[in-house]
Amino acid sequence: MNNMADKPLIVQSDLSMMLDVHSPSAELARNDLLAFAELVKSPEHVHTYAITAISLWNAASAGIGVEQVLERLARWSRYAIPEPVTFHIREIGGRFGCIRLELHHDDQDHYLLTVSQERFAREIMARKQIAAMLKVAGNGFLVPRYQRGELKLQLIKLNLPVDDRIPLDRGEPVSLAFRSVSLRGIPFVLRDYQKMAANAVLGNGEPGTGYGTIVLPCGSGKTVVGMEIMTRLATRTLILTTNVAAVHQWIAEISDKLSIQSDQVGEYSGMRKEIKPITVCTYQVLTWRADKAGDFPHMRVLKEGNWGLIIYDEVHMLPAPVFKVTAELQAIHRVGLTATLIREDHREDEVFSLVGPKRFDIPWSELESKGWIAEAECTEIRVPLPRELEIPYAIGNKREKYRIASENPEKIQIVKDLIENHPTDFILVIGQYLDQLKTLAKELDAPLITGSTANARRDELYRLFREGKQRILVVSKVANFAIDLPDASVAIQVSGTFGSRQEEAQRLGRILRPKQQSSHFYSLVTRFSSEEEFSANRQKFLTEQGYTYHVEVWE
Amino acid sequence: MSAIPSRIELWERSMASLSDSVFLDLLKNFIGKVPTPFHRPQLVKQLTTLFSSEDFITRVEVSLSESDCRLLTGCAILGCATQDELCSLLIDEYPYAAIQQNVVNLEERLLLVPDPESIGSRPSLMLNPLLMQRLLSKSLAIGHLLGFPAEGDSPLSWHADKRIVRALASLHMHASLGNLERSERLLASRHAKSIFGAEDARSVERLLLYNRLLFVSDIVVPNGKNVRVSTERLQMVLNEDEKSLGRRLFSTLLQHIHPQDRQRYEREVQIFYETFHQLLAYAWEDDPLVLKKICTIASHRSALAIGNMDEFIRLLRVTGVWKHGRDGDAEDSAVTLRPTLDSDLTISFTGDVQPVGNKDILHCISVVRKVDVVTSYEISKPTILRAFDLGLSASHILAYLEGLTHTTPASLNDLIRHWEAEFGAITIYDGILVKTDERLGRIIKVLPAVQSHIIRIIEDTLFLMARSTEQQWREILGATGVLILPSSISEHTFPQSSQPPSVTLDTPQPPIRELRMLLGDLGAQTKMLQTEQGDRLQRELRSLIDAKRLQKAQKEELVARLERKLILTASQIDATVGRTQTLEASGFDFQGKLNLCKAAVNSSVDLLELHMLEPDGGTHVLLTEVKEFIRDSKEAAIRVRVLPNGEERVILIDKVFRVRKLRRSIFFQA
Repeated sequence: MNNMADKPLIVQSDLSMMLDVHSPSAELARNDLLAFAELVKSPEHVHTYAITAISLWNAASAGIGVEQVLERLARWSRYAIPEPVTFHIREIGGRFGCIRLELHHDDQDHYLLTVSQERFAREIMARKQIAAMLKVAGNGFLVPRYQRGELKLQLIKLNLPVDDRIPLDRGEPVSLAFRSVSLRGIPFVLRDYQKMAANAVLGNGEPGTGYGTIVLPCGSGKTVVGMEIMTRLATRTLILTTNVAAVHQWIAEISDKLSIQSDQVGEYSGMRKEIKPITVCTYQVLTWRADKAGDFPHMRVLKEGNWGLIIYDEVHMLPAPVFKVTAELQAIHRVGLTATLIREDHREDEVFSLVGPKRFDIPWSELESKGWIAEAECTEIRVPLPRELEIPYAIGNKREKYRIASENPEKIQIVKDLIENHPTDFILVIGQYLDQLKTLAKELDAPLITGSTANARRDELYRLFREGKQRILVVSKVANFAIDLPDASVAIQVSGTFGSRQEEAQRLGRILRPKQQSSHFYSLVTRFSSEEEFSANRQKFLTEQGYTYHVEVWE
Repeated sequence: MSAIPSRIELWERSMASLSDSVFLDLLKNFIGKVPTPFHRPQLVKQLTTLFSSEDFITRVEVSLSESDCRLLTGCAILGCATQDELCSLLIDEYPYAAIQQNVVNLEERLLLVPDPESIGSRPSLMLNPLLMQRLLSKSLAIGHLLGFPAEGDSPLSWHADKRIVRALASLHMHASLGNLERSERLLASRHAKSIFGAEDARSVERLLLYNRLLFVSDIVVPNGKNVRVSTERLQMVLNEDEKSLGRRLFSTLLQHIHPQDRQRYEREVQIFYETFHQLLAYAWEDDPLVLKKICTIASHRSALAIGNMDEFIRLLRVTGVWKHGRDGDAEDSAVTLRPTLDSDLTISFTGDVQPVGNKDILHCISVVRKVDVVTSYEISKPTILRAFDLGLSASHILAYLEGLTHTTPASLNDLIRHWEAEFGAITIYDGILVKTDERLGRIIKVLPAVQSHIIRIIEDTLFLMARSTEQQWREILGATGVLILPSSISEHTFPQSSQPPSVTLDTPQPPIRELRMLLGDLGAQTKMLQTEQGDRLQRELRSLIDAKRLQKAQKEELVARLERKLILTASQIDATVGRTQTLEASGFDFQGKLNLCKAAVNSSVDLLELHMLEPDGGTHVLLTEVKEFIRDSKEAAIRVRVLPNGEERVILIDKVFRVRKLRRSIFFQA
């Protein structure tokens, strides 16, 4: 490594890092960086990583200390490492391990919190809310067991990470293993990155491992990663997901790929209330309550199931009440799965504290280049607004403008034309507004799935689509997440939730299952309208992942 | 233009400017007592012969001490200098009294002589013209003042950081920073840390001074609460070399120190900066003391007084880019990240971007996101629309990007073309609407001379005419027979810039070229003092004095003159020259002290060096002009003016344990 040109990394003084992906050693450097830095964006040429307090503590919890981090930076950095970076890594990174939470022998009600530096102890005790949880005891503080999660959450807000050394509960054992050939008759092999993702969460099983979040692109097999973790822990597992269709998909996948009796897998949803060793549940049912002031009666599923593992599917959708209960479940193995750890409510730090830090992330473009997800061509089609709507648009307020632009009736003909251009593809037409979707379904003579479609009907339609008996589905945002439609190869987005980046990524994800041909993602946007600006924002995440949108004007 | 006087002429004129008494006083040290009547031109020739003799010059050279060399080098660089100016160069390193007396000693050794061209109110000294060339080449060196380089050292340079100028201009264009006050607020609170990584007060201050540069250079022109960015001005500034851009920043700093003098000292600023820049090439470390010396010299040479020199030095160190020439070059040539345009429309690069086909429009088409090791700019629809608004076309932008990066995403072409189409939906023209009658309308439409002034023909009798050439087309139309054209009718008139023209970048002036030659003569190399030879000479002369059979007082006087290096040859050992020893009184000799104090009151030639007792038992020394002797029944005191700052104090003679009477100057009186 004598040649500076071989060093692909540029470390900035604000702790961001630019990786020149065309450098021969970029791949090696990336593997070194992932342990202590977060991938911020990964367009074609220069990937950006950020060293954050959390990423340093993640690294420290995985045994990579500050000196090792600095050594890796020095190894790959093209220029001298700016002084503030070294200082910050030592100052902030070094905090991990200063505050430890451990079992307190013979005390069934408390854990022991030890603080190795006096200044941190002073800082902690200066906060009334935290001090109220603590009782001084010898060299440390006693913490009521039920406040373990809350304490961690409060301390992380002070930039004080807790090294949680309390072993996680194993839960009741369940016999689980992957089938070598799935029930559908397809040989099953775990992919390398899926194995790496599971390893990243489980580590060596020592205290400080067994919880975390995995970020993988849609279609890359996050469910399989979840199942790999299930088989390795072989314990009672609760899987939380976004809707009933997704519950059914999980159950179908588990039955297909894992050797487990079907009566051992249960569904806990609005329709059925089964609690089995492997239970799949919706967020909605957990957060259901009779009235706004009442309790959440189904939360007991979380608390009382004697679970050894909880999987939070689409963790970026985790509702606030589930966060609260999760704070009480810190003794259980926890895994968050998502394609886009972007919460539009900016609660990523709570995901970190309560579910677990991000343990694994990989650029979408990398999986695409290796064929693990489909190649996708993204096209934004600019559609003119009909003359009769120009004045209503011009005088409308912001919301009205967006609605008029989104429901632009000219889009209907374009959808038809696009469908004509893809005569053999399986096509999803995705939108936001029900009136628009109803019109489209009628015009296309295709079934419509919305929030009000009965679950049985949804399952039926998804099944027909998967079996090739239904080529076109018109869907509302209920199909944004957790719906696996392997053959879908064209998605036409006619409207969306303003500038939501994660919605755009999730919708693209519906067509990313690897297949023979490329997938096509069309986004119809009304020309010269606010929809263009929202569209630009929606595309940010994907452009940062290396996707480029071709813009076409529909004349 | 008068001819440049020869060195001998200058020397003779210098000697001629001395009064007879001063001249004879000096003369007796070099050629002995002069009987009257005397022939002064003849005596000057004798002195000229002495100072032209190789043996004598060699003796002069070996007699030079380190502080002599420093003062003589300072005087050489300043060209001519007052005592105060010379002392100011070393004031931070030596006690003022010592350095002032060193200057006086150089006067009596005729190494410094009066500059015959200095005007009476500013009596100045210059290097003895007869010795100048020899001293410059053999004994003096800029290193005596600024330090000599160690092996491998490379000189400092100072310049403005073009990356910051460009980034700030981009923010003004795309992020609506507003006028100076608002932009300072926004920069400090919002952008300093996130874009420029400025976390500490010093870095923020640096950024704000660069922001000020944009206003001072009329790149950003206030227009009420808003601003207008002059792309032409910006382009001109970005095209400047590092040194010229540095000069703008330099000028901004000076104006920051002296806000009321914005345009007053244009030429002086120019000379100051050129001097600073040239001297910096002989500085080896970023040391405030060295910088202060450089700025002091620049200040004297340019006659531009800096009210708060320490603050100015601080600003210089805060703002500019300090670079060691060779190291910096090596770093620049290291592996860099060439401008790369990524699919998220971010342009990243290390260093700074170069123009593409003489166009430098990065700041127009994108907004800065980061200025760090890697600088990043982001293209977005608003930034491209802004670029269109500035008159750039999609073709210009795409050609620029292709020339800049070689990694233009395919989709960008479509995007920019679409944005251009959208932008073209409305065009706002700036012009003067001219309504005519039908006849004149017909003429205007066909009159060749007026066609280039028509922006748009709106109707047969309604024309939009160019505002910038109003005078010309008025004349053309006037010539068609319209006797009096009506004056424009408008809601308001466009404000003319109230800013005076900015500092112009003229070519360096003659004094600066002189300095360059002088610095060339002095050179950067180390010149060792010939202390061994000097000591040997002293010992030889001392043994000659000891060998003479003289009275004790005569011997003491000769030894004192030898120590002051007034005796360089055996022929100067002349006991009849008279007493030149310093008078002093100390300890219990209260009357002696009183007498010296009384005698010094309002003296134009004498100063008193007062050695004062501190309450903690220590001492300190003051060089003073005595203004008044005060005595009452109990105590005696003097009212003095302390040099060099001029502070007036009343000092009890009881508190003075030693008084020395010193010469203010050999040549000049107060």
